[in-house]
Amino acid sequence: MTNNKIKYTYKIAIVLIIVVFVDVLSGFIFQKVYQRTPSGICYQENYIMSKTKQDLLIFGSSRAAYHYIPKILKDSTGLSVYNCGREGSGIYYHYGVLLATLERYKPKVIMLDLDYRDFYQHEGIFGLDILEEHNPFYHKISKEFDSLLVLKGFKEEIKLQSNLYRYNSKSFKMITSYFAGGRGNVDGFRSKNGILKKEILPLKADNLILDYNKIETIKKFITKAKENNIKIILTVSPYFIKTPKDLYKPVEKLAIENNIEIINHLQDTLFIKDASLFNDILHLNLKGATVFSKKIASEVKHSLKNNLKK
Amino acid sequence: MLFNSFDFLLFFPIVCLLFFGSPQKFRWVVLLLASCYFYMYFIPIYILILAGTIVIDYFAGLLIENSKAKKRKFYLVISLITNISVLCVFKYYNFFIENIELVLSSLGQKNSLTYLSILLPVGLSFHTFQAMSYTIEVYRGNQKAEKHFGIYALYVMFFPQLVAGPIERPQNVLHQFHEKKVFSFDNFAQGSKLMLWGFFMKVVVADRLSIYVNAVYNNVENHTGISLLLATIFFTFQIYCDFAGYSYIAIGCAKIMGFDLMTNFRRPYFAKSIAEFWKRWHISLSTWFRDYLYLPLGGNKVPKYRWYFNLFFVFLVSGIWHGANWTFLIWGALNGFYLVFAILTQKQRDRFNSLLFKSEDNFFLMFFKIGTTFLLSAFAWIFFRANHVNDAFLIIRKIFTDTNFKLFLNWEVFFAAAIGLILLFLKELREEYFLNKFNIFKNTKVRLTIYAFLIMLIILFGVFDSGQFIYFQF
Repeated sequence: MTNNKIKYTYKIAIVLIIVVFVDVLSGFIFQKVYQRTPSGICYQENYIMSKTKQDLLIFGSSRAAYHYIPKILKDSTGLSVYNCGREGSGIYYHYGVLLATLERYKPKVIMLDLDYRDFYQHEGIFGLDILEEHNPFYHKISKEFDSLLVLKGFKEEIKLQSNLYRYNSKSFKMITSYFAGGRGNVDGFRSKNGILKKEILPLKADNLILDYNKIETIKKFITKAKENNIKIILTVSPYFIKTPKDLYKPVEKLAIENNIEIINHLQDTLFIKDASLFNDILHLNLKGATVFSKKIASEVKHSLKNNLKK
Repeated sequence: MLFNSFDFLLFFPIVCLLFFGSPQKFRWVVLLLASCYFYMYFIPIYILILAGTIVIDYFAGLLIENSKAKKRKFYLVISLITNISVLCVFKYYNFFIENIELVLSSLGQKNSLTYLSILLPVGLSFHTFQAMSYTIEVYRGNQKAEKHFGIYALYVMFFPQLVAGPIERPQNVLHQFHEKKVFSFDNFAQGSKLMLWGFFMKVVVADRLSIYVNAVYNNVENHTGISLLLATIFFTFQIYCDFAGYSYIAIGCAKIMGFDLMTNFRRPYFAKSIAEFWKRWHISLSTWFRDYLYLPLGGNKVPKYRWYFNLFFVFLVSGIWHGANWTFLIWGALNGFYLVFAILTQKQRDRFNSLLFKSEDNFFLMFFKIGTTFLLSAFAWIFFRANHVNDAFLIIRKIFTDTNFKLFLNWEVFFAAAIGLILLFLKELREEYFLNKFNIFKNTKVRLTIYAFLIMLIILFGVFDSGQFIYFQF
């Protein structure tokens, strides 16, 4: 080996050693910081993935987070409740949460609030990209969970070998929420206080194409819950949009096939005739969420009673 | 294929291994096949367009060299018309039709003209200009016509600079494809450093800033003047880091394989005038326009009014080169105006400066000049980035008149971008003014730690699989 070769091989090795060392070390530090964030989105993500112990869990997007008030559901059903709803999340994210939850315990009931973008193709949110939020838990839950995270392909699997990559784009949120202190949301519910002042408009449904990968994941979600003897209820909370009658037909079909209940408030006249219950066309405000939670709480209570009778 | 894609990280080492592992006489084949694969990653069928122009320009070069005066010109014109026609059809046809329709409808005539539903071949303006520089240089007698078809094809298609430059000259590159390249650790080290810095500029700075810029510029009406101002400043850095980042990666790739490509950027935001800015920004394009348009028009060796026209016209063409949209045309015109205005007011500005500052090297004068140049270029970038001309004017109006100071916040972008921009500033400041001043950077351990640190920042803050480089659309 010439001197030049030795010199450069040595240099490349030094750079790689530093990178690997810092990757392992900072991965460890980031993990600790992530787990100890007392508030904010990282706290909530960590809580949902590793600390929930409630009987009834609510899964869904921001529409779940803003529509279901756990206290009302708890008072009605007598079960402890946590709202795992998360902005921009879709079925892939929820399935990851379910897999993580089942590694720790089996909740009695799961309510899965389905947005239409959970089973139709949609650019941007509700796709596989949201799985990045689960990256800090790669290699920490189960093989099945890891295989979900690499649905984007083998490139993602290679990237995930880096501890630092698992915290890509999360550093600022982690650091600020770690030092900001405060107390994390106790039941997962968040409220919006705006009042919608708008005429109801129809949903532009011309370009809606079913996403069979998402539908397959919903099926897996249902199967997994049933395998673990968890009562699963599919729910649809209201939109302030006129939607086609058969918008949720694929999900209704799934519910029938799997013999599970679906509570559908998609075009509930109580809501679609009253814009003052909405913050925007997709989200109820606090007043709307209270009305909706009371309504769905009694329906869930009734459903649970029927379940006991059976 | 995108440089910032995982696929490229696999593709490039394989090409290097095949390149250095092949006998010398087959290396051009390896590079040409790799370049075809690289190009066909976008829209495969478009390689036929490239192949067509390559064949025409190859024979045009040979015919120009072997013909006499009038015929030489004829073959040159054929080559230029072919290249410009391809550009016009793919890039400008729909823009042209759209504006004709607009004029007709304003005259009360309803004509629906036929639009072409085609996508712009990636990097069309780059390889077209590179091909044109070949036939022009052969015509001028500065370059011998390339006899080897494969080597000529490689000159146009060399994958590191195929889709976004640097726009090379045949005198600089063609002979390199004939030379025997031996793997060199020095080239490897230099190329890797350039690539690393390029990746950092692209994925940490440019792509992170683009999140904020896109959110604001794609929804101009709902953002305040202060947010639009910040987005404009961010875009000024985004476009620099995006394009210069690409150039660094391209130059680095070529360097690892033993090829030297021309420098494309030299710290443009340290320029003290717009004229100097254009000597530092996209140098390969600026010099292309200088050599093949500005100087043939007479350059500055003509009456003054004609000189001003030449400058303005070249920048107008540069604007339209960037894209078939009025926003680019205005951006070009604005830069042309800056240059002409600077020449017209040179004496008054010099007098004013000498009254306030004792010497040209005065720190405050330098700071003032750099700051002014930066702000002028940032102002012009508004037109470059805005989706429509109306948007651009609305942005300007809001920046100067909106009294609502509510800033659209995205702390994740601010945090990562701040780290990126501080590092960028420190690196460029050192290169501009203190190149041999800090001995600490000569220490191998320090340098190696810095490289490792850069890799970590890319992993931690990089935006991966984010999409194309801005200049691909040109």
